[in-house]
Parts: sequence; structure tokens; C-alpha cells
Amino acid sequence: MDPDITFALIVILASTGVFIASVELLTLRAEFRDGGLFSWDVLRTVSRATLSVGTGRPSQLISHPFFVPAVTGARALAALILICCTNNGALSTACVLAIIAASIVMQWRAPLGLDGSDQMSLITFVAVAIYKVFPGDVHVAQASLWFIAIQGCLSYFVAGIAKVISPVWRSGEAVGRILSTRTYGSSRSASLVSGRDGVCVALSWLLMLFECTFPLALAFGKTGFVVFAVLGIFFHITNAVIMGLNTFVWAFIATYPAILFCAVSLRQ
Amino acid sequence: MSYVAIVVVIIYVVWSAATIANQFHSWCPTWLRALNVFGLIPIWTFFAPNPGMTDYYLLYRDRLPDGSFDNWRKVELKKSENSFRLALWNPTKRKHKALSDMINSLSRLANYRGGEALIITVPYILILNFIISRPHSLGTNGTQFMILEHSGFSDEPERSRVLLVSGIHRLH
Repeated sequence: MDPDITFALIVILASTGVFIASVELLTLRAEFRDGGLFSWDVLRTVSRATLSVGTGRPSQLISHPFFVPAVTGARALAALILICCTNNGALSTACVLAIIAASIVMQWRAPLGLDGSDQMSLITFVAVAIYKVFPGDVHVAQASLWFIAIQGCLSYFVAGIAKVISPVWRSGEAVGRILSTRTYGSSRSASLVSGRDGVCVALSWLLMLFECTFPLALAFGKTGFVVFAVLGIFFHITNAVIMGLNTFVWAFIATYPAILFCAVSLRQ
Repeated sequence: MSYVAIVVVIIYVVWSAATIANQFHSWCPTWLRALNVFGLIPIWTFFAPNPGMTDYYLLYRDRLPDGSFDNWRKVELKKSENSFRLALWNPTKRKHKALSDMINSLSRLANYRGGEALIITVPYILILNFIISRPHSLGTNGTQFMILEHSGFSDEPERSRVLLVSGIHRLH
């Protein structure tokens, strides 16, 4: 697999997730005003870095009503440009760097409500940026792809191990109770798992098996990758439909081209 | 291999090692967490080992001029029941997660801080600030909030338990 094509696929998938997340955040701009969930007056006290912004111009800028729409709007625009023209050298590099900068700024501005898709997207884009800043260096490209693939595999593996060591996951209780919440479940999922302990246990162990063995996607070439990729795509789409974790689909599937590249490279 | 590539590989190796170290709190040195100012050292332990298996509800009530209280009101964070729409578009998940993060932090802090020590914590102030901006009864001079934890999808009251009730905070 050609590294440039691999990166193009990664960028398109990851940018789609970032675009959706950015536009979602734009709809929440009221929550960034005084009295909102993400009020700057309070959140600036979270860390020394943000507290030191002080009361001068930077603080006036950050607390301005247009700050959040401007930053998230820029991030959305950069993502859209990358989806449409990922191979345009300087422009795509600038957009990748813009996404990284905007993501970090929004993380400082509102360190609450972030999730794993935000983490994976940021890491992916930093690796993409390193590749784009040193074009033509095949070793940098390969190292960046390996890094994305390792982070992708590590995310599943760690998630699986963390479940295996948890009594509520081993017993299936976690599956039943999470799907019965209003936050991450629905009336349909709640009725599906209610009183069906066997189903919950089976789902729980299948999930742990899938996550813990995911790194094997690297070990058996294209065929092994396809098996895990199909399971992974099904897993993420199911999570999106049942739990509403829509941006996870794009953030994590964006690592799959890198995993395929590495799986094929290892085989060769 | 160029010098640039060597440096890049070293960065990636160190970054990956830091990621592994950060996965479980007891392994991760404090200085490493302190370095994570850009959020580049991820935690991949989703919903485990201690998953959130309950819903949190934020309620508030106002103190009326005669000293009595009106009814508790729930802060609504509407989530669509249309699963396929949520699979594509789900802006409220950020609000839900933020509130959940705040409540989790506040619950943990409440275990070893009480009274005045609790009300100067960031999660408490955030929630109070949010509550103050909600609609209030006419003539009210104070407000109070409550955090409820609810287990299961049905609305049965016995599935709820009170996590925290704030003191009464003056409204201007």
C-alpha cells in the first residue's frame, strides 16, 4: 500500500469526524456564554495555564461570544477542505495544523465533555502533520503510520483489558446496566437486555475478546486485518446507533488504513 | 534513515511509552500527567474498569419570599430517541458528558470535603453557575440544587438516590 494513499484515506475519515464534532459544538455555543455549562468565568480557574490568561485582552478575546464559533467554525472549515482536497500540499498541511491548534484551544477552553474520539482524532492529526511537514521522507511516513496503527490497536487492547479486570464486566452486569441508562441506552436497548443475564454475559465476553485480540489485526496480513476491520466497523456503528457515540466511528476507523498498511508491511 | 526520521521515531516511541504508562492511574507518575497540557497522552480505558451505569439528574428549587420552597425542577438535557439520527448527529452528547464529568468530580470531592470546602471547588461552582442561569420563580431570593442518581430506564422513584443537596444560594 502506498503511504500517500493511506494517509489520504486516514485524513478523509478523520476529517469527517472532526467536521461533525465541530458543527455539533457550534450548535452548543449558548453553553459557552456566562451561565452556560462551559462558562469561561469558571472554567478559566481549572488550571494554572488558563488562570494566567488574566483579565486583559486575551481574556476578553476568549470570553467574547464569537470566540468559540470562530475557533470551531475554522476547525469545521479546515476539516471540510481536507475532505474535498486532501492532496493539495500546502493547503492540506495548513488545514491539518489548523485542526490541531483549534482542537487544543477548545480543549483548554472547555476541558469537560471530551471523549475518546477527541483524543484519537488529535493524535491522528499530529501524526499526519508530522508526515506532511516532512514530505518525501519515506521513513517519517512509515513511522507515522506505525504510530497511528499502534495507538489504534492499543486503544482497543487497553479498553479490553480494563474490562477483563472489572467484575461488573466479567459478570455482564455492565452491559445490562449501561444499555439501560438514558444517557447511553434507549428504551429499546433496555428492554432487549432486561432479564436476559445470559445475553449480557455473552455480549460482554464477546466484546472483551474482540478488544483484547484486536492487535492481531497486524499479525495476519490483509486477511487478518479484514476480519478485525469488519468486526470493528460493526462494533462502532452499533455503538453509534445504540449509545449515540457517532464521532467514534470516524475517529477510530480512520486508524484502519494505517493498520492495514502495517499489517501488509509486516507480512512482506 | 535521515536524522529527522530518527528524531521522529524517538518521539513516537516515547509517546507510545507515555501512553502505556498513562492507562492505569497507579502506574502513571504525577509528573507525566502534569506534562499532558496538550491532551496528547490519551487514556483508552473506555467505560472500564468502573463504568458509569446510572443516570444523573440535576434538579433545583427556589426559595420564595415567604420562606417556603417551590417544587424541584429537573434540568432537561434532551436526547433524541431516534437511534439512526444519533448515529450521524448527536450534539447533546457533549452536554451529557460534561454534566456527568462535573457530577462525578463533585461526588468524589464530596467524599472527603464538606461544607465550605466543597462549595469552592470548580465542579460545584460550575453547576451552581449553570443553575443560577436557569429560569427561576418570580420574587425568589435563593436557590438550591440537588443531584440524583437513577438506575435503570424506568421512572420508578425507588431507583433514585440523592447524591448531594446543596445549601441555599442567594439570587440577586
